[in-house]
Amino acid sequence: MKRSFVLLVYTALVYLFLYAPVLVMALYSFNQDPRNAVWKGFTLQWYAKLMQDTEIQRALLNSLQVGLIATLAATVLGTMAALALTRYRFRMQAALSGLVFLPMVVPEVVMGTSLLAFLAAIGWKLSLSTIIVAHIAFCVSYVTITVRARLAGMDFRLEEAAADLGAGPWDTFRLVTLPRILPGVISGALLCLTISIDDFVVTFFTQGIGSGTLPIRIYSMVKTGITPEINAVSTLMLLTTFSLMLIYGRLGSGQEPSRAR
Amino acid sequence: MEELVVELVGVTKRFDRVTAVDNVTLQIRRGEFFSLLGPSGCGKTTSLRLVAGFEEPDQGEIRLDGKPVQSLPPYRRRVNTVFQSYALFPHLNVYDNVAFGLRRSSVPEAEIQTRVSQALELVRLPDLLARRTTELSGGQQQRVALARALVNQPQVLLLDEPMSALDPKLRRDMRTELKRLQKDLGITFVLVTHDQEEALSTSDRVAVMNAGKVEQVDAPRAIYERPATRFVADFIGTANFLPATVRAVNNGRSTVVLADGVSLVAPSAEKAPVGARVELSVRPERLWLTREPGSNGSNCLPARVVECTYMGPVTRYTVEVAEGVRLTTEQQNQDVVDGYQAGESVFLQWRPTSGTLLPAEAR
Repeated sequence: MKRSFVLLVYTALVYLFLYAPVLVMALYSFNQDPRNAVWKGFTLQWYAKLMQDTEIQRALLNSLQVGLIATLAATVLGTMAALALTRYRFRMQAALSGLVFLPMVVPEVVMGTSLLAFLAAIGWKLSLSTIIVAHIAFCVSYVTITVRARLAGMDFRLEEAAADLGAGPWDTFRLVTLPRILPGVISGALLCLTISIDDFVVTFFTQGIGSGTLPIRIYSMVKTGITPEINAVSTLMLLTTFSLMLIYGRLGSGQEPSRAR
Repeated sequence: MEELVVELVGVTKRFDRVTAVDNVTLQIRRGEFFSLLGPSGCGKTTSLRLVAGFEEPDQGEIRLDGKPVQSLPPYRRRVNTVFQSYALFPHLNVYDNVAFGLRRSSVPEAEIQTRVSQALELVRLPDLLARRTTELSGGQQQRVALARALVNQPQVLLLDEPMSALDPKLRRDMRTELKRLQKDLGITFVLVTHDQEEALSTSDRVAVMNAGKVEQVDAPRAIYERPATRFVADFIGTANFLPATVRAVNNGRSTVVLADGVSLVAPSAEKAPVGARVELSVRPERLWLTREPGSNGSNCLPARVVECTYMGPVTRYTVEVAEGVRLTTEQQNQDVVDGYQAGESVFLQWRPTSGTLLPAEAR
């Protein structure tokens, strides 16, 4: 009994440490005090103010544009890469297979600086498009890995059966492969969207004038002091990310157990 | 001249350094039940996959209906496969699984409906159209797989060890079922199996494969009664082998002598001319034991009983006819008589027609 009580307190403290700042932040987005020092009463004015802040709106629009385009492109490319890595045998396959993980382990600062240097070298003017390209670059890995996991658990004879029954390569992919790997593809896409919307470091290095995303905008707002408005926009971002992760988790746990056959 | 529907001409397929199919030539006639029989790794499944189009031959030609198809992808060949694991689409129900092939060839939906239900009737599957295939038993899945292939009315139905996942009783039922289907539909069936009983009981002709090569193609009875090679004799059923040399060939009967000078008679074989070193093969059930030497024209060898195993209806004896040359025989326990005891001296006899002369293989 005693031991389980200690464990309970310990667990509660860990979660408190993790989530108390987040809760306080969310709570203070409803604070009337503009300096956000002490609680002065409930208000929705900061959310209302957000609606009128054109800078925030532009940043949000940028974030969504980058997130959606990068996710779409990375999902297609990542799925293709996963198919190539699992369905075909070719030279350097093991090496290429390992290199897929690289963007996940390279420190973001390194990735940011190298991308900046690369973009400068080829003379690509920094803008929204450079952010998108950078995001695609690190998102592809996540899709490749989630899709590859699904493909590994899939009986390749299903594809042979489809071909045997008269389905060409495209029909086979559309009617057999894709339905089998769809949970992996969606998980990968959601992961991409989450990471892209949250990303600060790589975006910071590859942004052009006026192409800052929401995290970049928040950062520049913080420089002049934390207002409840920042709390409000952060809370909204948090909600978005949480819901994406929730869907992702649902898909993950909803995977069919692999069958013995 | 019967029409050939599948032909393999000098086909070779290598995987890395392993030659899975080694210069194989096979001719399969329209409407026959043909089996590829052999131990695992003998190249039978690879041969089937070459016909289906899942593998491309390194050498040789594959013809379907007389036309070379080795460069055609599987979806352009009019053959259908029943896979060992069935490979039913788990995200589709029974109806959509069976309709898959028809939809690919743009058959009108109304016709699809009739043909799917006909196909499912054919394999005697009760109304399970809307079921998920993952909810079916192994036997039911097998029937869906059969229906899914047969509904397309293929020129050839390829079956890759379709019964290996079923329990023995179901397997026997399915065997009869397959034979019935083949007879009713008149479609050429090519069955890959490692189960000799399955191959012998279902097929019109059997090709026995070993190490990527075809050892013999013949009717089941001929495969068992007149095996062409030591491998076939040994792989199908059990066989005894006596090393010998051909002394004389006369009117379809050959006289051979064993190392110790005893001479025996057997039907002549093309590959066993005078002077050839051969192996005389006899099935255990064709041998009988006596206490006195025979005199009625049967082959007779003095022997010593080494081991006897009582097995109910039969007793199995291992006898030694010469140093290190042991044969097994099974004797019916017809009357309540004492069998032979280990160590006893006996005579081993068999009719000359029961033997088969096989060319001795270099070891």
